[in-house]
Amino acid sequence: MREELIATLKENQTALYRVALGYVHTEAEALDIVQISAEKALRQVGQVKEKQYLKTWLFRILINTAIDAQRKQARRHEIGDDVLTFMPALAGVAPETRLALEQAVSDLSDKEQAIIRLHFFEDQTFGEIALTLQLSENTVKTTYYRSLKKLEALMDGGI
Amino acid sequence: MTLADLKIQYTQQDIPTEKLTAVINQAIVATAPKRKRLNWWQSSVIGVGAVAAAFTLALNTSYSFANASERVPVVRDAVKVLLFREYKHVDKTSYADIKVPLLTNLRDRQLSDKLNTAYAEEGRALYESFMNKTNDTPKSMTQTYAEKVNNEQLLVLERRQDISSADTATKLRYTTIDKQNGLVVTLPMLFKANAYQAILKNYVNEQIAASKQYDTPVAAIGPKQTFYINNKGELVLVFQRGEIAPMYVGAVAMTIPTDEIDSQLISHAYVK
Repeated sequence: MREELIATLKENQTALYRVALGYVHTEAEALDIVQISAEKALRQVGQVKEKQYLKTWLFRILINTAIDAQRKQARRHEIGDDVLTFMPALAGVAPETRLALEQAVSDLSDKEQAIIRLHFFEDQTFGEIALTLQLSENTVKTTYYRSLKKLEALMDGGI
Repeated sequence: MTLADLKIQYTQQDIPTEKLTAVINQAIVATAPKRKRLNWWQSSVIGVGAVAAAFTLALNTSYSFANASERVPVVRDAVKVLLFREYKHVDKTSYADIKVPLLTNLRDRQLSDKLNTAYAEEGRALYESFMNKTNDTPKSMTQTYAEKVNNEQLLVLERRQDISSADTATKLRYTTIDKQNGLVVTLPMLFKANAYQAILKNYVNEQIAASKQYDTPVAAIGPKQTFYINNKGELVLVFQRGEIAPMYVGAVAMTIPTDEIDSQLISHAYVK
């Protein structure tokens, strides 16, 4: 299984990095998250019984690691969890857009955010996301459309 | 700016591909299963074996009677007990033959050095006490040794001293060595708490009561009780000649069924 995991890691490295970067400010932090997640996954690979679940399991570890890193950072800078930024490293976003985006995202839970990140930005299927977040596929779908509507209203309508 | 624009921004981000590949490779290396370092070890066995052979031969060339096979190390046996030195003395009224073992190729050099020094000192002391004649000096004294068990995990070295003056006495001693971890196994190490002493004592005394041959119940089994672990992974307690049975019976080795002490064992690493 270790060999298969290594292959999965290499295949998905860009997506892993982009998702990680969506939680933190800098390239170095994102790379750290990828490395820590990869190590965690490689150490625990015995837990995975079927090859088809490797990818979603890997993304679950990545998202949990990223959220942990984000929280630690918030604590270091003594800001509350509620002002965690959404994709802070994304350059070329106008300040007004960023404000609107942060406001919109602050209404979303970790899972709702993760669904947006994985489906809207990474084009993962609802089925994969359901496995990653351990939700039913229907929950993922309805949550996605609800969250997207919120975002669209604030982004496209507001500015 | 719309969400669609945001997505374009997202997909156009620069990806530091090289660094990314590097961190993933680092993770792979950091978690790589540890390879058995057999190669350097196998080659060093040959080196150590050859040195030990030269050393031992040099020390023993004057004793032509020593069994040649005892001195030639077999390289494929990782750990081997060699004849280090033989003290021999024969005159009209007395006889001594003290063989001192030498452990070689034990992975832990410190341990083998420590044990070898102890054996060498013990041998020399025996010889000196023999040569320094007093009224108590026995008529004859021999020490021999044997590899009682030598398997993947354990080496049990038996040393047997036979001393005769008016009477004869035999003293058996065992060193049980964990070759993999480089340590000497002691009795307290095997058990969780001191309760084993009572359990062993009761079991031994039951056997003594049930047997016609053994006659003296033991008062206690202490942490220094002579013991070894046999090839089947059973604990064997050894009682010196005359300790629990009449002198003519000799030393008694009593195998303890593992069931009796199972609840007290720390693990089944040694006693199975």
